Amino acid sequence: MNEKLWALVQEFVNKSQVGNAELAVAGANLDPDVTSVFTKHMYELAETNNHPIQWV
Amino acid sequence: MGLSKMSDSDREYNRDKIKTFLKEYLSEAKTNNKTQVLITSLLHLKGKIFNVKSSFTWAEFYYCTASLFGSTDKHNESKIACSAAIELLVLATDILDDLADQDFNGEILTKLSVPQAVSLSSLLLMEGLHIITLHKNSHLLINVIEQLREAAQGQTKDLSFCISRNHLPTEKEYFAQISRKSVSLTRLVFHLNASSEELPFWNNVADCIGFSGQISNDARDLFDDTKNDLIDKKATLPLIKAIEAGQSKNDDWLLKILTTKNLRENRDLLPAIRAYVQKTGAIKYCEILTEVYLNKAIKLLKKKQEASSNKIQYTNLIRFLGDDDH
Repeated sequence: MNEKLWALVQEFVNKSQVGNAELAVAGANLDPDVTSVFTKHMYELAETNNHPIQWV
Repeated sequence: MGLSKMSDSDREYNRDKIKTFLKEYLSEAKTNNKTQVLITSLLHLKGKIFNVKSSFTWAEFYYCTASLFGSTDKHNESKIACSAAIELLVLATDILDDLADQDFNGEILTKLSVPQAVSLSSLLLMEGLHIITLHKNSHLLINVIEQLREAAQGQTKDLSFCISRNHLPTEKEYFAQISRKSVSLTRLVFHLNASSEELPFWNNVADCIGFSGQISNDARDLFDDTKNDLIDKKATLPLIKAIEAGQSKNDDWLLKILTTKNLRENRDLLPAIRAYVQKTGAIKYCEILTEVYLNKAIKLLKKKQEASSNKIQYTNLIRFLGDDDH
């Protein structure tokens, strides 16, 4: 149902750096309504991966 | 569900009208004082209408939805009553859900004994239906029964909708299951108001809102120690996707744990399972789908709004669902 999205999430989930071009190419395969949400979440995720949350 | 963005004063006013109706109805209903106290206490729980911190309540969701379909005095009276009825019906299903999941550490079953929970859920269901019979035509009541029947059948199927050695549920099966078990309640809200000609469109809106809410709940509950979805190995979307991710890398750690360990007796495994699910991207996938489905619902509503004379009411529902642009 959402196979392309799931494949991309798995590809990007553990990256600490995500380039604009890389995301644009990836997002081009998705429905336009999904692309914007995917892109936003991947930037957030890269930020988190780059600055891991310190659990106390 | 999303945070409400309706104006605070409008929201308070509508909420107060529904609360007043419920208080009066409960005090006049043929129930004893102890039962009234219990129901009132349940209506103060997280996400319920008497709780001032609740951002999404089913009563207000009904009120905003019904407002799209008319605004005569008679309609307004029915809107308040049916908003209260929906709050009671959903509370009844919440109790049944917690009983079925044996969530004895959850908010509801820490307040009620099992016999109280069983009798209260039955009472709330009947009172909710009774209010609807007083304010809606019988053909609309049939729609309500049909959606409640779907929810009951989905709830029964849910008992065995788990990860097991014999069957690994798929994403497609998950969507079919939540469509019956919980999205049916979202459809119920629209079925009480829309004409039969327009039901296909409203079913689409209801499905998007319902899918968004249920996926979000399932992702959140996986990390909640008072919920038993994980220890009961319920086939929720994050677990289904995490197992899929493992299998695609020839890593069957999660599947092995879920099919060989009793998690009620091995709760020490829960943090590792949660970390594994998170690392596969399954939670992020759920978060994205939650937003995508909500956006889809809002897009459909905005398109319908263009041709409607009830533009403000559409804006109110869209804001209630959590769209920042309105």
